[in-house]
Amino acid sequence: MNTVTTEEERKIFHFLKSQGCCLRCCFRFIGYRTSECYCKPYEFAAQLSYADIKDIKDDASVEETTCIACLGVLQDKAQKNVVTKIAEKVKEKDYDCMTFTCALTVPVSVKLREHILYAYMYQEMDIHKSILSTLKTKLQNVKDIWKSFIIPQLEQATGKRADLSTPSPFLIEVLLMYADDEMIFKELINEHKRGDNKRKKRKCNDNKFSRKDVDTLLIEMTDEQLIQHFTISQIIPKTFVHVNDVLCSHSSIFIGGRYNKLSRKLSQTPWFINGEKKVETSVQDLLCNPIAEMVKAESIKFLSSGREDVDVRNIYGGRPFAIELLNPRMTNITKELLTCLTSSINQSTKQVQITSNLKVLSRFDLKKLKEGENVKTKFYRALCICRDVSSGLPQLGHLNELENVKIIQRTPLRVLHRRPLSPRTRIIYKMRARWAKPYELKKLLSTATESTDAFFVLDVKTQAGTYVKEFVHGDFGRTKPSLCDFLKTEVDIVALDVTGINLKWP
Amino acid sequence: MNYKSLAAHNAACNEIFRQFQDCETEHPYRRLLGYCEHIQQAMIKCIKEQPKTKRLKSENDYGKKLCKEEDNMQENAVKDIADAKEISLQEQEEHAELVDNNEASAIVDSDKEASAIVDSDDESFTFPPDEDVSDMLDEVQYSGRFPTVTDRYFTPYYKMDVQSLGNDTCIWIHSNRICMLSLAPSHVILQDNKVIQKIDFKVSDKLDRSLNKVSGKSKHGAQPLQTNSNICTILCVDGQTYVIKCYIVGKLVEVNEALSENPQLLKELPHKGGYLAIILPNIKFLEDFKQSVSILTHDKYIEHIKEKERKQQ
Repeated sequence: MNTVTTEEERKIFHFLKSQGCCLRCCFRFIGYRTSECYCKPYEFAAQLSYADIKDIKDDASVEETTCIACLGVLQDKAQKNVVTKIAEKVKEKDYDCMTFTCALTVPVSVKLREHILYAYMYQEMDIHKSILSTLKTKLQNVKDIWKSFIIPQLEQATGKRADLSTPSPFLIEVLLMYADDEMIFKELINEHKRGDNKRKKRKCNDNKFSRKDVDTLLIEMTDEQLIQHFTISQIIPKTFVHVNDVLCSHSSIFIGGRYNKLSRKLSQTPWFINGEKKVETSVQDLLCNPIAEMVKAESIKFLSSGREDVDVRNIYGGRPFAIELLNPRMTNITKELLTCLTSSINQSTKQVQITSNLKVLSRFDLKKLKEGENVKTKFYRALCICRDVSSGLPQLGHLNELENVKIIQRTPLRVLHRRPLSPRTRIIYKMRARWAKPYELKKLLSTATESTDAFFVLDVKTQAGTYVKEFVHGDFGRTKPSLCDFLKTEVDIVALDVTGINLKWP
Repeated sequence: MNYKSLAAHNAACNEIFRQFQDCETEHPYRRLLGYCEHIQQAMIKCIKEQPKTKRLKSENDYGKKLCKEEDNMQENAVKDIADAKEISLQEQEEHAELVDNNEASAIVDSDKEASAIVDSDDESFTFPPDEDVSDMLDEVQYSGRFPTVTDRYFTPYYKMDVQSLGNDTCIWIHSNRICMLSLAPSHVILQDNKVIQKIDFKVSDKLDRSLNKVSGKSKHGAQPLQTNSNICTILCVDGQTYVIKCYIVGKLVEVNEALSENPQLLKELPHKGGYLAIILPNIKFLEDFKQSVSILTHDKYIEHIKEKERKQQ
């Protein structure tokens, strides 16, 4: 029979108390699972038949000293200030999320201490081993018990609701430290250094003992060895745990939309050479900075479905993009706020415009963004030049009739320094070409007094990943066939615009 | 090392691990003398091989996934490959794995081609309105003449009279440092409009420049080039030969394969295909090259040519 009788409970209770355990730890070791015994341990102890009144009166003094097992993590005296400290920190950081979840880090030695206490219980009490080992496997984690009585207090102090199951995107991490945590390991560390081979030596170099090391150690060591190493008097703590740090963080929020790039002198991302900005601004800066400022995010990441060259514009539908806001303080992002952001960004610059509504997205949506880059068809408009047409104009008409032309592009020289060399098959689905009208070329012809060149406008629908500039001029014969081959004359590109990316976004 | 997290390892490793644990508990003292060492070694080996097995497995899965997308014709063939893969997975033979990888990559290539044709909601996606395109020319530089691709991206450097008079070579350096080799306009072949019989990239019995293979973005496996390395020999119909050297320390990326079919192409301008080879220079030596006394910049080259013409007159 593995159930614990009241008599055994009494024995364990008194044994643990005599060794210096706090009330909550006593209940923990006995295996109580009800939350009330941890919320109000005094009241609960008073109800118990075996904990007589005299004991309870002594409790006052017992709780003055640090618990040998939890080092004060579960003691009201040590935890009094913790709640206020956390609440202060949360208030200072000013997150507007209405829920929170909480994580606790306890001193490394707590687990070891639990095991030592069990080892002594085995040795010194006449309770059947099977009962004790059942209790040992049932032992509740210090962290869970801490949370069960601290979180209600935290909810009150911060005015936020705890949400551990979803969990809430707002995380409070509490680090509890014990000053002499490593004291009791010293001998063990030395032992390992002496007795063990290189494997452990490397680990112990810094004289630190990680949680993992403790786990390994506890599996390797028998109870007898534990008792040999540690006597109760050796591990009696002198001080309480203290709050080392409280960290607050909020998980990322994603905002997506589409943008137009209306300048041929604007790169997509900041361009640094030796740490200096090569160009003043970028699409990323223009879009992200106002948003990051508004939501008080720690930092931002700019994501987009592909990218344009510096000298390529993006017009009409616009390119899908998303912004990841890391650790944002302001998390309640309303439609009004996004509308307001859109108009303020659009008014702040002429180089970039947001063409869609901004929208809050989930992590799942972002996968679509990359699909847009690698799979979806694109439209481009190129202004092309036919050189030296003195011997007659090429026939543009038959370009319009071509459909689904396969071309083979070797990695363009333009990007060859940072991409592997390989030939790729790409498909030009459709083309639409027409000669440029004289009034459209005013800007060119005012300077070019006499020219033998002819200009035409080409709209192309291509497979994702086609290098359109190279398709036009042939990249030294490395893209085959190119527009030069179709028109049987020398063609080059003057200007390029992205006119459509076939992706439903946001 | 922590072997305790069994969930992370596969069944085989865990079995060995259990043996190891049993050995240690059964022989608490002998274990200190290395009694259980051999089991531990086996365990470490097993754990080390795990990532490899996993990778193999995932490649295998990937291969299978691709199979489904292939059309019926190929399906059977690919299935065979997948089967072969499973066998190789069991056997874990090095060479089998190699074949495996090659096959997987071959499938990936064809997949790229196949899957990309299909873009589901494509039909509704039509050309934008055919409007006035005047604004396309905003911010476009144009000064009466629009430079060629070569002139837009490359800066030329020249090396004169290599080994024989008039064997002038041009080394074009891209703004991204990629180099392209071509004949200089003053080369005898261009000046005399000689007919080229053959351009031979086999520079020695063992070394054929046209068999150059590169992989990865840092161009692994490329033929290394020194300043005096030969790139090719140009043989003209009149019996004259010209040896082209590279003058640059770096890696050969590719030679212009179109020249083997049509050697006369070399007489065209580079942007029309008249070049010999593409080279990725070693960045350490690139500055030295530009400063070198025997290398002419474009201005110096023009001067040099004028000087030469004056002398001839």
